[in-house]
Amino acid sequence: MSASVPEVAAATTAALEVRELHTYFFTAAGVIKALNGVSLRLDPGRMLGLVGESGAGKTTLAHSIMRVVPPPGRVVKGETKLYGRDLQQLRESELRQVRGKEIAMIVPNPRAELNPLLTIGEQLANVARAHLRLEKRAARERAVEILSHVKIPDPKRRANAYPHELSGGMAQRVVIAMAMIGEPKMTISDDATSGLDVTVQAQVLDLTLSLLHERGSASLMITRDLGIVANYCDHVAVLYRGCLLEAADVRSFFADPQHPYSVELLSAFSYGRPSGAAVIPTIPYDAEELELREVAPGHSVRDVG
Amino acid sequence: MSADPSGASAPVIRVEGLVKHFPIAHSRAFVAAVNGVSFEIARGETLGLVGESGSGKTTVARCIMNLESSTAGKIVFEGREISGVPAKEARLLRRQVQLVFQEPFDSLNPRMPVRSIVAEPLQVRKVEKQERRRRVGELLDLVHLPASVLDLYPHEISGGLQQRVGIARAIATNPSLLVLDEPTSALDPRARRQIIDLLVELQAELGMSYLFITHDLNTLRHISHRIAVMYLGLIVEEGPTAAIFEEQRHPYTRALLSSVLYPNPETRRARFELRGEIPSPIDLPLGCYLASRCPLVMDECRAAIPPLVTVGDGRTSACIRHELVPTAAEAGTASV
Repeated sequence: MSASVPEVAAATTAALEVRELHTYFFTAAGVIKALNGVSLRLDPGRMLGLVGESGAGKTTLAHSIMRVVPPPGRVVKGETKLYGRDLQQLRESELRQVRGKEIAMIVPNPRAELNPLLTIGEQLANVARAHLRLEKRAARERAVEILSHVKIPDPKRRANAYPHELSGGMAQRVVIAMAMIGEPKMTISDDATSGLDVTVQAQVLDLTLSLLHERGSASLMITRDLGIVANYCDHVAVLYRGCLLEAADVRSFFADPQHPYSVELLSAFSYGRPSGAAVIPTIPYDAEELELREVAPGHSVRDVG
Repeated sequence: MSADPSGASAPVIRVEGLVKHFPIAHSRAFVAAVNGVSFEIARGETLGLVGESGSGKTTVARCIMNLESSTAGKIVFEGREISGVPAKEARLLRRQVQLVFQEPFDSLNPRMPVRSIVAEPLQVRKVEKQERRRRVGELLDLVHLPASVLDLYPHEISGGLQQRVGIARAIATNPSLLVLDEPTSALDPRARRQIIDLLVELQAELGMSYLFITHDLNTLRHISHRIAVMYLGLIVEEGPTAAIFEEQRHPYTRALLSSVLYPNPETRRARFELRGEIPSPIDLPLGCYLASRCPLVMDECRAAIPPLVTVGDGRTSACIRHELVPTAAEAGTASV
C-alpha cells in the first residue's frame, strides 16, 4: 500500500485494491452507511493492519471484499480488485472459484467455524478436494501436511480428532490451516487471534507471517490491538465510522501519528502517558467530506473538521 | 505474602492452600482446577492474578465469592474464615466482597433501567427509598456517569458505559474487596483505558482492595501492585509488579512476558518459547507441571512439585532453576 489515495500510479499489480467502496445497510429505521468511500491498496507479500473500534466497519469491509455482506446490507458503489480483477463484477459461480482458493478469510471463534460432526482431517480434505481437485487419498495427505505446517503436534493422529477435542488455540490453528490449504494469494484475518492466550496468539501470528513470506501472499489483518499491528504489519489504516482517517506505513504511524483519533487510540495502549480523553475533537459522521491528504510519502491523513 | 500477620496491617483477604477439584460424571477422575493456592491482599492493594485459559484463575475468584465450595484450604476475609460458612452468613459477607464481570452487557438485567440496576443491591439491604436515591446519585458521580443515563436501558449505552454501571453496582454496598474478572477484555482500547483509569481513581478514593484477574499483561502492569502468575492451578511466581516485569524468575512468566505485543514497532522481542501443549488438568504430571514444555527442564524437575521459595525482596518462585531464567531486557518497552 504505497498510499491509500486512489490516484497513485501502481507499478506492480496490487494484491488488493479497494476503491471508493460504499456499503450501506437498508434497515427499517433508515440507511446506515457502514462504509463511506474507503480506498486502500495492499501489495503482494505485505500485511496491512486495519484498526478501529467496534462499529467502525472493519468486518463490513472484509465482507464487502469477499462479497458476503449479509442483508439488508449491500455494496452500493466501488471496486475491490484482487490482483487486478474486480470481485464486485464477478458472477456468483465465478466467485465460488475465487473464495477459498484465491482469497480466504480467517474468522474468530473457531469452534463455530468447524463442523462438529466431521473430524478435522475430513474437513481439511474436503477443502483440498474442492479447491485443488485432489483425489481422496492425496487430499487426506495434504490435510495432514497442512496440520503439521500450522504446528499441530502429532498431525496424523490429530487429523482424526473432532473439533470439541481440541483446545481453543489448536482449533484456531485448524481454521488457519483451512484458510491456507487452498494456497490463497490473499487472506483476510478478522480479529482471529483476540480470543487466544498471549503465548498461543504469538505463535499463530508468527505462523501467519512466515506463510506470508514463504508464499508472497498478502494479508489484511483486522484487529483492535495496536500491539499486533506494531509487531507484524507493514502498513496500517485507521477506520472510523466507515471512513479511513489515516493510512501509513507502520513505523511512520507509530512514530508520528497525525490524526487526533489515532493519537487517542495509541494513548489507550500507553499507560505512561495521560489518556487525553479531553483532547479528541468530535469527528463528524460525514468525515468522508473532509480531504484525505498525503503528509509524507505513504502517509495520508484526513483533515479534522 | 507482604502484610505482617501480627494484625497491625491485617490483610483484607488471606487464601491458604486453596484446592478445588471438579468431579467428572461416571468416573473417579476429577478436573484439578486449583491445586493449592495461597496469597494475601492488603488493604488498598491490587493483586493481579494472571494466567492463560485453564490456569484456574476464575475458579479461585468463584471460590472467594462463595459461588463454588472449595475442596480444601482456607479463605479468611477480614479475619473471619468464610469457606464453608452457612448460606445466610455467607450472604452478609458477600456485601463486603463484590464481583465485576467480563461481559458488562450480559451481567446487567436488560429489562431494568440503569437507575434500578445500581439501586438493586441497596434495595436488597433494605435501604430506604430517599437514601437509595441519594446514594445512586453519589455512585453515578463516583463512576463519572451523567444523570442522563439513569432512565436508559443497558442496550442503549456503550460497552464502556455499561461497565461503569457494573462498577457502580458493585461498589454500592461499600465493599472492601472487589474481584474483577477480566473486566476490560470485552472493551475497545479507549474504553478499556478509561475503565482502568477509573478503577485506579476509585481505589485511591475509597481504599478498596482489588483482585484483578486477566490475561492482559499490558493492562495489569498499570493497575496492580503485585502480580501472581498461575499455571495449571498453582501460583508459579509472585512479586511486585515492577520487579516481575523487570526480571522473571520462573520460565512460565518469562514465556508469558516475551509474548506480550507492545504497541511499538521498534521493540524487538527476545522470544522465550515453550514447547507443545498445556497438560490436561485431569491427568497432571508428577513433578513440575511445566516440565513437559520447559526449555530449562532437568530430571529433578519431574520428581516432585517444586515449592514456592523466596527469590528476592517480596518475591517467590516455584522453579528450582529460577536463577537460570534468562532476562532479556525488552528494548523499547520503557517508553510504553
